[in-house]
Amino acid sequence: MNTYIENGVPRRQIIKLEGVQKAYETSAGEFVALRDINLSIKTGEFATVIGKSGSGKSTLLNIIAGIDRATAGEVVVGGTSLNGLSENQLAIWRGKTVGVIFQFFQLLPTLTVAENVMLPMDFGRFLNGNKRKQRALDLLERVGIVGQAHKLPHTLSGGQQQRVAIARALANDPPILVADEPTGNLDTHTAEVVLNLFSALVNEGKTILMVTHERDIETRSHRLISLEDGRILVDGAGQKELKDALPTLA
Amino acid sequence: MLSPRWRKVFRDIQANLGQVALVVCAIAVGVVSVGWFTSSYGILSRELEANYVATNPASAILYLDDISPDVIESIQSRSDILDAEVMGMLQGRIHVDGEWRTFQLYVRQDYENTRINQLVPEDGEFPPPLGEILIERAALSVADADIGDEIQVQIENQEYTLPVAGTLHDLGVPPAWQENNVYAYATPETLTRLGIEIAFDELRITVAENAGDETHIRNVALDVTDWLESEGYTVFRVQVPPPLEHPNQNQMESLMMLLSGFGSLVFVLTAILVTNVMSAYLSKQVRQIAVMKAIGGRRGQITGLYVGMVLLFCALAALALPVGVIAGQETASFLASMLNFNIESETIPANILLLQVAMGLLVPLLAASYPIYRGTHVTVREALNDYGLSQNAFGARWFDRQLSRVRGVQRPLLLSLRNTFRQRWRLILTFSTLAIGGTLFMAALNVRASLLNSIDERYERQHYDIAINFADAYPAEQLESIAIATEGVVDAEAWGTGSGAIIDTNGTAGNTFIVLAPPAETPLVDWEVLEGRWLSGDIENGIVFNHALLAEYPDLQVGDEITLSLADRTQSWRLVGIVRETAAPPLAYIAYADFERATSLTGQAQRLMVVTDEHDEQSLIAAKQNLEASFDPTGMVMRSNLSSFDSRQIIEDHIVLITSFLVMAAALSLVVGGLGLMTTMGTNVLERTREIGVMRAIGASNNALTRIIVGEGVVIGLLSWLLAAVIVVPFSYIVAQQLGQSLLQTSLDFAVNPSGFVIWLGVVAVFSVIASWLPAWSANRLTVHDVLAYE
Repeated sequence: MNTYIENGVPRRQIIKLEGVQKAYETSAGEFVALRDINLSIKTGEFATVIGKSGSGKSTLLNIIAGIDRATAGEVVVGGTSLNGLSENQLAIWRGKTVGVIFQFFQLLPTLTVAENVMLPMDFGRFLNGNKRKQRALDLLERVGIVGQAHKLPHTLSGGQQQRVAIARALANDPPILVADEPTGNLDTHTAEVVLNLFSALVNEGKTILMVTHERDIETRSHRLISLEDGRILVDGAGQKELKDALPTLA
Repeated sequence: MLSPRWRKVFRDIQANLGQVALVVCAIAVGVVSVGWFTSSYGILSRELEANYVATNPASAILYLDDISPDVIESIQSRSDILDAEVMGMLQGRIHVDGEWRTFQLYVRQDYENTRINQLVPEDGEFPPPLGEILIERAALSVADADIGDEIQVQIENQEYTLPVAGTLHDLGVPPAWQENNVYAYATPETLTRLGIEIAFDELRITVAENAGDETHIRNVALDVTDWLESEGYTVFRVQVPPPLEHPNQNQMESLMMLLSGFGSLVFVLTAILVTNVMSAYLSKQVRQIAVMKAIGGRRGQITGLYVGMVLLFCALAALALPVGVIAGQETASFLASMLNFNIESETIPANILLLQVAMGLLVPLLAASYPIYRGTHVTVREALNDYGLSQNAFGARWFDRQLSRVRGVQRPLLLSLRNTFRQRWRLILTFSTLAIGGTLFMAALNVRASLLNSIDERYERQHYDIAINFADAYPAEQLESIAIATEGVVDAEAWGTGSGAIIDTNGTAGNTFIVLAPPAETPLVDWEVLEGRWLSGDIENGIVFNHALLAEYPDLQVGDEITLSLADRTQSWRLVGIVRETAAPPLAYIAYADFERATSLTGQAQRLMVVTDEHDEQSLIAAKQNLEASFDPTGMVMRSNLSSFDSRQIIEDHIVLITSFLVMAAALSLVVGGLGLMTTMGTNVLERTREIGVMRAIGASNNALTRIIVGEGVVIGLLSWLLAAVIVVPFSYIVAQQLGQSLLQTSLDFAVNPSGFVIWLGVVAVFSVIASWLPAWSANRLTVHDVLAYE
């Protein structure tokens, strides 16, 4: 992992994509979802990916999370090159390095809220068995729904479920969180709560990469990456780039 | 404390109780069927052999003149002989319910010390008291008598009233109910008191070594024969039964063959059910699997969860193991009572128990392994993109394209048709389940029909109605004229009969068989000629074997010269033909003219074949009684007087266990096949709950949805019926031929039972509608939102 000094603070390059391409075989022929993506994200950065539907933003996120594989190019995340890893190795790596948050929460319906949060620790053998529950409760406390810890997911509102999903993403204390439209299914108020939580996590040093359609994202995000037809259209941290990019949102 | 992932397993089970119940039921049905069939197999094969061997069965039986005790001692002292014992047997008749049945009276010298073919006391007195008899326990019902009753018997044209003092168990004789024969036992003193002469002319020997080697036994028996003849005795024949093999071993083996074959197929069926249900279950879990992978779950860990789940199902299903074992023990006990042997121990052999456990665990695990592999192999991206709609794009395959060209059919039915062929893997599983269930059901009925058809065919080729065996040879013309003068009789033909044995090149006589001598041009039988031709007056000393006799001499061919011992004379005969005579003992036919020459019994006959004017059972009973009345004053002693109904009953009693089993197998197939149908239809619909939601969202009414889903169910059901109907013909043909060879040493006259096809069609139609209507009804009750959020 490359470490360098920025404004007197040591920063690491935690996500690095070089010449990444992703193509799918479809019945209509080859569909290229990502073209020649070069991207570098630093530790503690809150990066937002925007773009129209089909622009390749979810594919980009999936490749960074090890959920999908690049057809060409190199993907290095958390100091690990993902290119050569098997599905199994990717799962182990993901358990330690990346917390994934989905638009539709994807909580396991038969596990309680606390158990859903404990599950990644169970898989990743994170902490001793008896400490896992306490950590799950701490994380639920952190996201403000510890009172629901022993309920099943379907009894919770969408916002509450998403907060559980965030707690679950944090379970193994990964340095990176990837979130695919985490507020896409939430009302404005609840979305605000979730984004506040993300901001707080970034302030604590987590790196967040998020796909979103939120219009006021420029107030929170350090960096905005706009995709169009699988290419990076805009990549910047300044207000100008944000203002330029926002009209590209679907 | 359980980790969250294992808690997930248990909660998933709780949340999917219906589906879990189906899997557990499917495994349980397999476990029960395997437990049932292997347990009964294990117990019966062990107990029959152990029981029979425990009676110390004779290695060989030599029929000779009356033999003196000192000769027995000399034989016993031979190094190649383990033991020797003599007994006598008288053939007679017993009067039961107004008719005469065959009766065999065995006489042993020392009942307290029976060493070969040992007799075991049962109820009442033992040994037989003076002036009284004991009856073989299975013959009591045939004699319609109880201990303390008196029975009417006829021996050598004299009638006697004999009190029944008790019962004993003689495993050396076939079950009495099958032979319609009564076996009785008396002491020599009783016979002396009755004034009946008895010759101890059956010498039973056991060999000192190689008791299972038929060739060795025959050689020893022939050495003994030579020695006896050197001592001045005449040995009429030597019988070497299959070593250590119970007389009903082939019935048992046929039944075992069916039991194991049927059990295996039921297990295959349940394995497919498990694959089916697990496949549907896993496809529902795909998104959760993806989420677990996304949060760091390794494939091995996730696979472990589902393997653990299946093992849990197996453990639950294993609770049904005792049911299978008990059913097996009950079946073994029932069959043992039918075949007249005791189950000394109902313990299941350890290897059978291990097999049951292994099959109960391994087969479901293997059956579930592919769905688990497939379900856990899917990548996170693929799984998360799975919205429950088909991943197999319809239209990519040739068949899909043909189906897409179907026009003029209502759109819902068209959708049903296309849906049917959309998931090839599921369709194969569904078809396999239903086709195996249907095939088993219809095959069981077809094989039963073939057995009965073979018997029908036999009686169609037999044109006499009553066969009378006389104790002695009488003038043939007199026999015929007395019979024809009898009321109800339209024709009669006297046949010669004798006991024959083939003499090999070393001069050794083989086992004896019955030789029948009808007139060459007899119209009373037209057995199917398998090879060569039937009797004719053209060739002197031509002999025809039935297939059962040929089975004992497989090297013989039509045209071969054979040396036959008949009526104490040895002559050369030419094998001119082989005929098929279903369910008959080994028999040879020679022309009556040759019989006269060979035996010097000119114009004499011992058997009379009678044709009656009416052929129903009551008329035959009346004709038999009339014949009894006609012959009674003549002094001609009947040994047996059997109508075609009687002999058919004996044959059917021999196969009743098999036919009953086939009916039971058909019923079980109906249950298992029906369960398979319900399961596969149910899971088919369940898998597409999300798609149902989409259809509802675009305006499909409940009725329209139900029509589509039920339509698909019926299409699958009917196609599976068609497949089973095609498979079942060759399948049941093969099973029928195997069974025929095993049970009757001949192929069966294959018959198809059309009602099996109709019943299965009805079952498939009804079950398809019910099985697809139920989940459609459940889906209709969900809101669109619920259905689209369906996991």
